[in-house]
Amino acid sequence: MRKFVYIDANTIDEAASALGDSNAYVIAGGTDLLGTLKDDILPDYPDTIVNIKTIPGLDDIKEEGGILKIGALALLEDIANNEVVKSKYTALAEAAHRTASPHIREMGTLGGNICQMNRCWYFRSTDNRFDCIKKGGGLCYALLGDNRYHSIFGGIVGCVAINPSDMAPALVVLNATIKTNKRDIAAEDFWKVEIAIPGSTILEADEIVTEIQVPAFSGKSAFIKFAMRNSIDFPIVNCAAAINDSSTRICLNAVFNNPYRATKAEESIAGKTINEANAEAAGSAAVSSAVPLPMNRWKVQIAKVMVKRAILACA
Amino acid sequence: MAEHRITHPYQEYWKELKEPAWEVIIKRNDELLEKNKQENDFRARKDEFSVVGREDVYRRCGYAKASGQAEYTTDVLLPGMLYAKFLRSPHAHAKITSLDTTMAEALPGVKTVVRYDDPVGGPSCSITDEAFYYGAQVGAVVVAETENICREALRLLDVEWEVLPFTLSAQTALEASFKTSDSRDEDNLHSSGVINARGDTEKGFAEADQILDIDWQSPTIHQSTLEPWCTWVDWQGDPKTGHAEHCDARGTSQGSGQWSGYAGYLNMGLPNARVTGRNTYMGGGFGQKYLGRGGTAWANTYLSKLFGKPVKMGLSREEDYLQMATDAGIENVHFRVGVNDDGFVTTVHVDNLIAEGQGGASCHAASGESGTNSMGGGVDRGGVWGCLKAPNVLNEATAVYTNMQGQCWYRGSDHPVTGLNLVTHLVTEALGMDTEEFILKNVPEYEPGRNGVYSLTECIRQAKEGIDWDEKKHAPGENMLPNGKYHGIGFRWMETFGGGTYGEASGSDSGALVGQSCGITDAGSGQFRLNMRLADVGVAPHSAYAMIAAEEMGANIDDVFFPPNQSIDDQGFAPHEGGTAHGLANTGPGVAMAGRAMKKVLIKKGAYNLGVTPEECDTKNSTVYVKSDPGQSIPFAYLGGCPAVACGEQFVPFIDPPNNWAMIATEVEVDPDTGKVDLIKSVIVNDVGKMIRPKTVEGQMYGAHIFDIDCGLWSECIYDPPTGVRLNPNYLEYKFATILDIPETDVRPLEIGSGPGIYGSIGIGEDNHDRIIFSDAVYNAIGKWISTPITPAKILQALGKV
Repeated sequence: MRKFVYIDANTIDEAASALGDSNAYVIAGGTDLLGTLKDDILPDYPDTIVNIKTIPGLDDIKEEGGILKIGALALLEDIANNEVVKSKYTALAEAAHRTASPHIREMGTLGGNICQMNRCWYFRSTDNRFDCIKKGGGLCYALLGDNRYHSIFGGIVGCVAINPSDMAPALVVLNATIKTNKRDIAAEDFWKVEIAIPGSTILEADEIVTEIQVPAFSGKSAFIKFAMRNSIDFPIVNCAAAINDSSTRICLNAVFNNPYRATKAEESIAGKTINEANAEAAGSAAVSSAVPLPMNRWKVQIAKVMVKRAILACA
Repeated sequence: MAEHRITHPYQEYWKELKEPAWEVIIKRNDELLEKNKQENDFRARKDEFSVVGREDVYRRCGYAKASGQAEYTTDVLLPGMLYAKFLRSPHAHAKITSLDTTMAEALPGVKTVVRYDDPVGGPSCSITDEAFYYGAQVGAVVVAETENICREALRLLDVEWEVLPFTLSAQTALEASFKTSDSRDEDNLHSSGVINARGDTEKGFAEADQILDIDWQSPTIHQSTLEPWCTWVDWQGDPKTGHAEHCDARGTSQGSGQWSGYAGYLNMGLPNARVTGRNTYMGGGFGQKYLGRGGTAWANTYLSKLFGKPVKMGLSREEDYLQMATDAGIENVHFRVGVNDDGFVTTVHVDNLIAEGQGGASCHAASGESGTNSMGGGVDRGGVWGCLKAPNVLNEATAVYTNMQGQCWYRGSDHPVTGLNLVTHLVTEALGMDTEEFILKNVPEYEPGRNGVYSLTECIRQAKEGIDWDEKKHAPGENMLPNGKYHGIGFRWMETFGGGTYGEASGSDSGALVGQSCGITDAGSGQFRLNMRLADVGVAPHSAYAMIAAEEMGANIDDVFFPPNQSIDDQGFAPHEGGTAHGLANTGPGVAMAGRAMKKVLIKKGAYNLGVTPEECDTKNSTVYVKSDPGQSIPFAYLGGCPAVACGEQFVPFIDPPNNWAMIATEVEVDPDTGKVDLIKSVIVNDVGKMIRPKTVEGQMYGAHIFDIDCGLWSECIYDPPTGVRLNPNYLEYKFATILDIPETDVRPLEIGSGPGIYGSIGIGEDNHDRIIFSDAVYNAIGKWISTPITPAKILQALGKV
């Protein structure tokens, strides 16, 4: 790891100020950032790391006025085991429980999980070996290389890296709001990055996630994950669904640069009885727009099945 | 098969012998075996043991390893220690056209940058200007005060590369007009030829009722040891004159004794006696960790001498994945099997094409060496094809240099065993034959073991019982469970060939001749210390070897100490280091011999104290007692007198077939919608001959099976096709089993046959390893044969879902 300035911030303002003054990154649990720094994957190495774990009051999990409020520094393991989250916001608890491994869940935070950078073994190759589109280069090496784990719905500006967050689709279907020191952002918009940058979110340089708010939800929600192993693996495909009498929201992840709202599946199942046939049809609808790469057609089948199973889990 | 022949250095060596090489070895084997029978047949069973076989002997390295007390090579920090790191190639094949080291040398903390064109330093550090694989050490090595400074200096090197053509394919390399290795001048062939043969395959196929064919491919896989490779050398002398009194060296090596040789006199002219190697705690070897695989020891020694300071060179996880040798991929192996309608195999022809990378550690059958990485194996009993009576066998291989790292052993004889089980599958599938029926029809006659029990049939019986075979067996693809998944069970078999027959089994017909020496010291306090050159390989070796010594001395196990991390210069009287494969069985006799020698000393002392003759005495429970009146006794602790040293050394010769078998039955469920394979249960039955430490045996059986899971479901080195860059050199992308992936595992060690090792034991850490173990069960589940790794993508494709 190269040298950098390390700042323990005591307030959000102090952290934001440090971020705005230099090429700086936030560190909380560090489970994504430390690997990124050690592997030296980026063209520009940060000169400052701003620790926000020293800011008090950012790790609460509480329900106030019918709204679930989770601090950005809340640990994934705490979210997975919180009784309120488990009973009322099931998809969120299940997503936290299926993230990584027990050790990583004890370190990793909700804020860090939703801000992690995309996954692609070309983008994350050590020593910036592949100067890809996401880093400002001219090529997406995955398109001509090994793309077995990449996007099945195309890519923004030619990049086919995927968003690997387990928490993201759960937040999208639960209609969460992500609060920062500057604004409130609907979860669905949080990852809508339209240009090629290393980061995966629309956060500005001096912007910090402080809290995630989830409105009261009266229906059933579920999270399903398919990974190569039963632990310590990013998703090949994951899917969250939240269904009640008035709304049906389904979101896939690890299939596109951003969490992928499966609107065609929502339209297919909305207002219908949840059963095997209808869920199957919704799964097929979800992937009807898929444009798989030469080595990842199998992910289309996985995505279809994940949508079906997430819907059935909401029955 | 290409008509290439090779002249291997070993062959040149053997030419100088007046007798054929293998006859020399066999003759020596016979002499040793006869000598053992006459004097010290450590293979002999005993009716009663006082220490060996006990369940309650704790794992002596357990606390140190679990608590973090255990000191590994990389943990050692010496005063003034410097660090070294190599420049690595960012291309699969490239040549340096220009190298400017000015900025790196100017970086504070950098001691030197040794360049490839340094007439002394270049060769001494084994660096050249051309790299033949991605991540190869090339061009320069940086020495600095910290590892971080080394890394920063490497970034400051200004290198211009000429990128050259490369290939990862053996077939392409054979036809290529460019070199894929610096080992060959004219072509890219590593080696080619007949590994072993018997009978007349042409005639056999002509007479067979049916001829069956199958092709198989297997990826290059990596051992993924927990501890990356690390070495340090402390050259204690005058760098100006080059004179040294002493050199201290340590490395994560399976051959700890290699250090005194390689790091010292072989490289720098320092006599062996002045080099201290060290046994070391080691986080996994699995056949990979031998000196030279890391390629760092030579440079370390040169650099330490250059500065007169200790120099450490440790690999990062990624560097370990890129540089440390892998298990060669089988680009293709074609099996042709002649079989009669009743299921009797008459003829087997195996033709391997192997992507050899930058060459192997004597690992390929095609080279006439040991051949663990071909679908080959010996043709006689104890060898893979020795498991079949088939009168005609021809096993050929072609190994080709490709632009990948070097190749080495991988835990287990997976390729040869896989070959046997592929043939078994091919025939049973074609004829609708039960696996047990196939085995019993084709296996050679053999003798019963202990109490008249037949090892083979008992292993089969227990494996079937454990998996509930008769109840659960069904036709392929015909058992869909209520949970919507296909159910499948599979059955694999192998003769356990650990111990003296390993080399034969793996194809060289040489026989393994493994020697281990051991010293035992008694300071006069009744506490004994084992001195051996022995790497930390296996499960709790420090406990198991101590048990053998205690058994032979008649000592309590708690009175015998086998210190880890002992320096090898303590062991001048124990110079030989045995192999690590099947180590305990093979090298136990040397310990037993030292124990018996020490027992004689103890009895002599005891008899003197008791006023009787030595012939009247024996030992037990750390006392010397009078056989005719056991009440007359004296504890070892009160014997007094001079400190004693006893030495033992025993070579285990090649012996008759061991008649020990291993069976594994597996149960899986396959999700037809996602292609995911859930491992439900495995039953591992292994006739181990004699258990020294039962928990060690069970640990080896579990360990080998976890390798089955890794190889079966995930393991493969993945390269970017256009560039040859390795894409998964880390623990996230290179996948192996987590604890949640391991099924219920029923291990059943049996003691029936008599192996070649100590007390009739046999090495079993590798023989129940077969990378296609789950292919059989998956076939039973979905009716499709899936090559390894059995990925969801392959299953979905086979089921027509993609």
